Order: sequence, then structure tokens, then C-alpha cells
Amino acid sequence: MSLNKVFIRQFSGSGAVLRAGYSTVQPVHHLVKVNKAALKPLYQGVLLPKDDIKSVSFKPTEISQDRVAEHYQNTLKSDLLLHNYEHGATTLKGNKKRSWGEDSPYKLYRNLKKPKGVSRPSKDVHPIRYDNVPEVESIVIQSYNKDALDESWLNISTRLQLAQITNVKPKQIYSKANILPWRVRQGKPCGGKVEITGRDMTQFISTLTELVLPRIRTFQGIKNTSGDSNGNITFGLDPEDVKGFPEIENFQELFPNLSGLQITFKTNAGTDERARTLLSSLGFPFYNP
Amino acid sequence: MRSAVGRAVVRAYSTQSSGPIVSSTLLLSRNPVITAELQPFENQYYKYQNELWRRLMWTFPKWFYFREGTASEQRFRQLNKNPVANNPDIEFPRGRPELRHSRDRRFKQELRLPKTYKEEVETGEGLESEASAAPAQDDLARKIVPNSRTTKADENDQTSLERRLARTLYLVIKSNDKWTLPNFVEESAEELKALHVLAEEGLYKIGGEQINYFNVSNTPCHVYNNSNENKKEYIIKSHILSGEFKPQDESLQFLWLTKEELEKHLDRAYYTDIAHLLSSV
Amino acid sequence: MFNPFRPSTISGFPSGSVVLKTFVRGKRQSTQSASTKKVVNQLSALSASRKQPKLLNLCNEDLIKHRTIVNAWKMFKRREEQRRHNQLKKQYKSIYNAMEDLKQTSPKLFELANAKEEGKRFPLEMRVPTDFPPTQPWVYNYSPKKETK
Repeated sequence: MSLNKVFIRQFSGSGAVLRAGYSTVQPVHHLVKVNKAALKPLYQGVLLPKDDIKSVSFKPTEISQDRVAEHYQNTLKSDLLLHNYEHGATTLKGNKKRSWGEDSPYKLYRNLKKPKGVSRPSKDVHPIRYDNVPEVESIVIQSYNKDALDESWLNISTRLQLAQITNVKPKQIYSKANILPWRVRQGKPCGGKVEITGRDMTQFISTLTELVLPRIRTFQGIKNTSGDSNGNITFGLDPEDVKGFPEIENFQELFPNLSGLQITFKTNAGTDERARTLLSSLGFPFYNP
Repeated sequence: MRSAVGRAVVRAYSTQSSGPIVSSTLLLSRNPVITAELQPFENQYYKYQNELWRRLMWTFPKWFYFREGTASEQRFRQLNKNPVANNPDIEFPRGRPELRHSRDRRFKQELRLPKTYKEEVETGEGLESEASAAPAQDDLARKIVPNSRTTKADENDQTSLERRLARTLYLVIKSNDKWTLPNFVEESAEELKALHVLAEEGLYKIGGEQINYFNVSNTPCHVYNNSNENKKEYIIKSHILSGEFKPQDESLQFLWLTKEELEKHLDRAYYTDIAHLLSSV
Repeated sequence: MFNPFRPSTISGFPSGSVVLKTFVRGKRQSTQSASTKKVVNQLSALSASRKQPKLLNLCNEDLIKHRTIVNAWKMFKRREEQRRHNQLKKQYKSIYNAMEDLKQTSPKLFELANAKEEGKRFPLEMRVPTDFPPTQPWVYNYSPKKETK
């Protein structure tokens, strides 16, 4: 006798007999995980949105006038619209993943083929209109500390340095690969990473363009070739340059071993050229390497 | 009926000549030098949010910046008195203090950092001591006093580039007893000049070459159909960065005006046509 | 491996045995080395421990006040945003109209006006406004560079 067969008392005696005795449909309540602990009344504060004053992680964001953002809104946005205008421009289709064809049922649900010639699909490039004027969405600052691979506590200094510069507590990054000659082992902490938006971002931009970069003697600008072809521009600062940040400059004995920064501007410009123009409007110099 | 007649007249006029004259108008602006004036509500909101932010700030790690036993730490301790301790023998009617790292967790932390100059509070008679020892201008330790947001030019000098520092100013000139944006027409017909080149050369001609300006784009940002003079005025946008507009012709009058002032000076129809190009800040 | 939180064991006594605390006159000396102290110091500057203030616990009246303020602010911001958006839309349309017009009037000028400006950068002199003006609000002595062609 099959154990899967469940006998339920019914009005007709033939109902249970005629039905197939084995069901392949699994009961749903086994599949959907419910974290009952999160439903505790104790955790109600955690579920609130962060901008609610009752939330435990409430932090006011609009604390003062934001001069960089205002400059962008009042002056730069309309200039960038005019600068990027191209009459009769159409959307440039990106290189997308391709279908295998529809002549066989096996091809219908197969994972799409790679785009032609490249390994990754690229995005469409839309012409600039009044609703998609390029702007900086966020800045990602990453700092790599090679020495922390050996002594993980050395990473504290790197993360503290990032926190001081950006006003945001950084995340620890871990090495991804095992490369024995460099003594890189998977899962070892090796630096920190911060993504800043809003006022922290504009503050960082003005610190960079007004205090740090002008005082670096060897700094010519951001390379005109930099960019990931999606409108995100990256440049690096040496440990020597990081000393120029006012948060570190006056307390150099507290930060004995500085590490360099890798700064990525994430923009919605779509192409690198537009992103570079945007950054130049915010006061970053560019040069031809 | 009247409008139909008017249109017929214009059409007759335009067929007479070869067509409307293409001209280039320069919208030369001086960008704000200082941040925009805030409305009272904005000021109040920022103050409120700032207070909340200070209240929710982490305690300042003074042990990190002022190492124990150093002179700077002693100076810091002199400036910042410890808050009232939680004495179990004392009744606190407004709640017991909760001290962590010598900060009362219930309130915002108010800090006074050691300055490189003597503060008025410390020196006692602020005015006298300041007068007796005015710091040298190149002294790095001097107290930084910000400049005034209003300048002399704000009083009654509309031709100055230093007026209304918080606003965008636009250049207007007087031609035929009317205030307009500077407009330039190509004189020699043989070579074709791009609109922005025409505007640039025209500007140098009337205002001298001591102008550092940035042309935003080759593309015109607006077209104004001047039916009185049978002209098409393509507006080219640019910013003056440094230098000065010095009229080469003595009789040429010019002004640097904000959007609201332009409304009073320009023709009504002309202003309404170009109003959306002007910044309200 | 560095572990600042590992309890320092006193040599000579097996762990688990009772250690009698003896009173020592004077300031207590910590057993940590200078470099360890530095790292502990850095970690304490980074971490939230014992630095967080008490949570805000507004009464109902204050909560309503706060929400009213925030709603008013959001409305204010939304209106401003809407106004800016409309202005930008008008500007876009006027650029479009101007270019259409130019195409009809003079195709050659249109070509020149629609030419791509690759590599054009905004000048560094176009600065972000500051809260207070510089001592010299405007630079007057500008002389154009001699063009070398």
C-alpha cells in the first residue's frame, strides 16, 4: 500500500479510487521560508523606512544648503542639455544577446546566445532629452590594502581612512581569488569600499575639486581614455595624494600607513564622452595621455 | 479679419525680399558667484534637520584626536567641561543623565575645538583687544571673517559685473532706443559663418577682446522671429568667465540684469518669448 | 593573530585558578604594546560601540509636528522640481524648434550648428558658487592668449 495515498472521507465512494494516488505538486508551505523572528514586535522598528523618524536608522539628510547640487540644477543642467543636443538623433541599439531561433522546440527556452563579437551585452544609447540630462548618481570609493592580506588588523586603518574622508562607514572587501605568488588568498580582507550619494557625494566632489586635486603637483587631470563605455569614469589617487584631504592632512601621525583610492563616478550619461563633459562641468580637469 | 490682413501684408513684404535675414543673438550670462538666497522656510527646515542630525550624531572620539597627556588635550579639556555625572545620591527631576565617553546620550554633543586665534569670549573685552592687535592679512592663524554677500555695485551700478552676486546676470544693450540682447547680422554675404562664430565676432566688435567667455554649444537654443525687421534671431548661449564688456563705441549703452529686471527693460512680447531661457536664480 | 579582546593571562597561574587581586598604589598601567594601542584606538574611532546617542522618542504631538514639517518640505521641493522640469522641457522644445527652423532656412548653417563637438570640456573657470564671495569678486584683467596658428 502506497504511503502517499491519503484517504479522506468523501460522499462518493469512487472519488478516491479514481483519482491518481500520487501527486507531484509539493505543498507550498514547505517552500516559502518565513522568518518568524522578523515578525516579532521587537523588530517592528527595523521594518520602518529609513527616513521615518521612528526608525532606528533615521538620519536626516537635508541638513544644509547643497551648493554643488544647486549649481548643477540652476546652471549646468540646462547647459548640458544644450551641449548634448543632436538634431535628429535616434536611439543607438546596443549589442544584445541573441535568440537561437524558433525552428525547434528545444531552442525556445534555451538561454540566449552571447552577443555578436563580445562577451557582454551593451546598453542602448538614448539621445539626451530634457528628462535624461546626464548627472552623477553616486561615487564609489575603493581602497586596496595589500598588507592586510597577511595581517588582517591592518585593514582597520584603511577603513578608518575611508570613513574619515567620506563620512560614511565603509564595507570591508575580501579577495576573490587564490593567487599564490602574490600571497592572495580567497576570503581574506584586503581593503574597504564606500558608495556615497546625496550630500556626502557633493561634499566629496567639492573637497576633491577645490582642495585636494589643485594641490597635487603631478596631477594633470583625469585621462580622456578612462571610462567603462557605459558612462562611469574612474581615476586613482596615490597614498601621497590622499594626504591632501583636510581630514587626514592635519592628523598625519594618526594615519601612518595610507593606501591609495580608486574613485568611480557612476553617471547616467550612457557614453563616456558625455560623462567626461559632465565631470568637467563639475570642475574636474581632463588630459590626453 | 484684422489678423488676416496683417498676415497678407507680411507675406507680401517677405516675397519682395529674398527671405528673412538670418542673424545671431548672444545670450551672454554671468553665472552666480555665491550661493542662492534661501527662502525663510528653507532656512528653518535646514536648521531643524541640522539639529536633529546633531542630536543623532555619534559621540566625538576625542581620545583619538587628542591623545591623553598632550598639551592639545589639556586645552580641549579646558574648553569642554564634562556634563553632570549620574550621582546616585542626587534626584534628577528631568531624568537621569546617561554618560558614555563623557557625553550625555540624551542630548546633542556640543563641542568647542581649540582655535588658532583668541576668541572674543576668552579675551573678555572683545572690541578693545581686537583693535589693539589686528592680525596681519597673511597670518595663517588669523580668524577668517567672510566677505559681505552684497557689494558696492549692488547699490546703483547696473553695468557692473559685481552686482547681484547670487543671481545670474544677462547682458543687454540699447539699440534703436530699445533694450535688447545683442544681435549680429552677417554683413558680407560671400562666406558663410556658423551662428556661434558670428556671435563671437560680433561680441568682440562691440565689447572689445578682453572677454573670457565660454560658448556652451554651436547649437542655437531658441529662434525669435522678428517680424518687424524681417529677421530670424537664433539665440546662442554663452557664459562670461572673466574680463569685462567694454563698449568700443562710446554711445553704446549696456546693462547686466537679472531675470526680473529684464522683464522691466525688454519688450513684453520679446521677453515672454525668451523667458524660459533665463535662469530664475 | 591580533585579538584586542583576548583576556590577558597572567603567567605563573594556571587558567581557572583563583587570582587574588592585590591593590597597587598609583595609576594602573595597561599591558598592551604601543602598536596594539594604536590599532585599538583606530578601531574605537571607527566602531559604534558606546558612541550612539539615545533614540529619539517623540511624543504624539511632536510626531505630528514633525510629519507636518516634512510634508510641507516635500510639497515645496516637489513644486520646485516641477517648475524646473517644465522649464527644461520648454528649453528642449525651443532648441528643437530652432533647429527645425534653421534646417528650413539655411541647410548649411544647420550643418554647422549640428556638428558634433567631441572632446569639448567645460572650462575650470566656471566655478561652483561659494557661500561668501572672494575678496575680489570678479577677475577683470583678462587678456586673450595669442593664437598660434
